[in-house]
Amino acid sequence: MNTCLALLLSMLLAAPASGQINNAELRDAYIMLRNSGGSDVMLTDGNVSTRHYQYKVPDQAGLFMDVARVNVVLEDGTLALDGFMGSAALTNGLLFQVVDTDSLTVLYDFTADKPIRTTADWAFLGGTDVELNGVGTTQRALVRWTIGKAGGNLRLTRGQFFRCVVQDKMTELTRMSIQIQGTGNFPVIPEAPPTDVVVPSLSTSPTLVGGIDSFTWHSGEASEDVVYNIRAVLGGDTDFKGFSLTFRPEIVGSMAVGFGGGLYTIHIKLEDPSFNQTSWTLVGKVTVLDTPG
Amino acid sequence: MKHLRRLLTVALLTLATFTAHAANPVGPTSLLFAMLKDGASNDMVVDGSVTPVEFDYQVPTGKRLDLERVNIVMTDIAITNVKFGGIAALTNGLTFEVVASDGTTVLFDFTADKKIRTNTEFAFYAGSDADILGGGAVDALLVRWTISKAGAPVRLIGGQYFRVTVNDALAGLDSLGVMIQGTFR
Repeated sequence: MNTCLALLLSMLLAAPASGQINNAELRDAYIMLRNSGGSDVMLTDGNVSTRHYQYKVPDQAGLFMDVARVNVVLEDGTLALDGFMGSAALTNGLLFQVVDTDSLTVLYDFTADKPIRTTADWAFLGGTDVELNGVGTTQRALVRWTIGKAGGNLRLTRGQFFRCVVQDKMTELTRMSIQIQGTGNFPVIPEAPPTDVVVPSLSTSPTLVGGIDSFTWHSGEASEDVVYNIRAVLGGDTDFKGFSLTFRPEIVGSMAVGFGGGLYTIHIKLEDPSFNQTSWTLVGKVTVLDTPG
Repeated sequence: MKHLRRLLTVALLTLATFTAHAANPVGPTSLLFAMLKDGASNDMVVDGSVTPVEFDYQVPTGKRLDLERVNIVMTDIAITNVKFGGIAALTNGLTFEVVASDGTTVLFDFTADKKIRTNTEFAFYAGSDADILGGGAVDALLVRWTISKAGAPVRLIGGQYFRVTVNDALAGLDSLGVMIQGTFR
C-alpha cells in the first residue's frame, strides 16, 4: 500500500502545471503570432516578398514552450470553401513551420504536403474544428488546430520559432490573426516585439549567361538578424518561379562578414531551362525578423 | 486488502500511461503531418473503377510511427448524406488499410466490414466528427477520425504503409484529400 501511495504522490507532484498562470516553473501561454513590426494583423501582401508571423522562444538556456493548440480567426465579407474566405484560392498558400534559432533552417513544415490555399484546407490541420458562421455582412471562419492530438504537444526550445509564412496577397480580408497556446517556462511577459528598421530596396538588372549569374551587393545593414527576402521578377509584378537565389558573404580580408550587413555575392541559378529571358530584374526587401540579441 | 492493493496499482499504472501519452511533448522532427499520395499527387479525384488507385504514406526505414488521426477533406457541389461528396454513392467504396512493407500484404483493413460509400458512412469511423458545411458555391465534408480513440494509436514500423484505396470513378468531385497525423517514437 505504501508503494501505491508513494506512486500516487509522485504522479501528483509530477503532473503538468496546466492551468497555472503564475507558477514559477510553468506558465500558460497565449501568444499571438506577430510580424517584425509587432503586429498580429495578417492582412499583408506576401506575394512578392514572403511575410513571417511568428513567435520565438526567448533565447535563454533551458527555456521552452510546449505548443498545444493553434487558433485562427478569419473574417471577410463573403466566404467560400473553395476560395480563401471571400477571395480566390491562394496561389502559394500559407505555411506553418518550426524554424531553428538561425531563423532560416526549417526544422519541420506542417504544410509541406499541403499549403493552406482554401478555407476548406484548414480542415487538413484542424479536422472538424473549422467552424463557419457569420452575421450580416461579416462571415467568419474559426479554426482550432490541436497539435497535441497528433500524439504530443510540440516542444520548441530556446531561440526556435513557430512561424506562419504568408506568400500571397491577403489585404482583401477583413481579419486574420493567429494565436498559439501552450505552456512554457519563460517569463509571463513576452519580449518586446522587434522594431521596424529601414527597409532598403534592391533593384538591379543582371544579365543571365549560361543559366547562372552572380553580382555583388552591399546591404547597408548592420544587424545580425536580417533576412533578405528577394525574388526574381520581370517588370513590376510578374513573379518568376524556377530561380534559386543564394547569398554568400564576401570575404573581406580574412574575415567573413556575418549574415547581416556587408557585401554579398548573390548567386542566381536558372532552374527552368526553357526560360530564355536575358534581361530581368531582381527586387527585394530587407526585413528584421528577430529581436537582436 | 491484497485485491485492493492490486486494483489500485493497476489503476495507477493505467493512469500513468495515459498521463504520459497526453503530456509528453515531442520535438518538431518527431511529428508527422503528411498527405496520402499516389506517387507525388495527393489529389484523390481519380478513376479507380477499373484499376484501383492507392494513396499511401510509407513509414521511413528505421522509424516507428504512432498514427493518431486521419483528417479527410472533400469539397463538392451539393453534398448530401446519401451521396459521396456530390456524386452518387460509390459502388465499391473507399478502403483504409495498413499494408506490409512488401506493398501488398494487408495487415489490417479498418474497412473490412464497412467500405465507405457515402458521406454519412465516414461517421462509422469518425463518429460525430464528420461535418457537412455549406458555404458559397461548394460544400465541404470535414472528417476527423481519431484512431487513438479506439484505445491507442496504430503503430506502424519502418517500411509499412497506411493506405487509402480508391475503387470507383471519383471524377466529378471538386476535391478530396487525406492527411494523417502522428508522432515518431
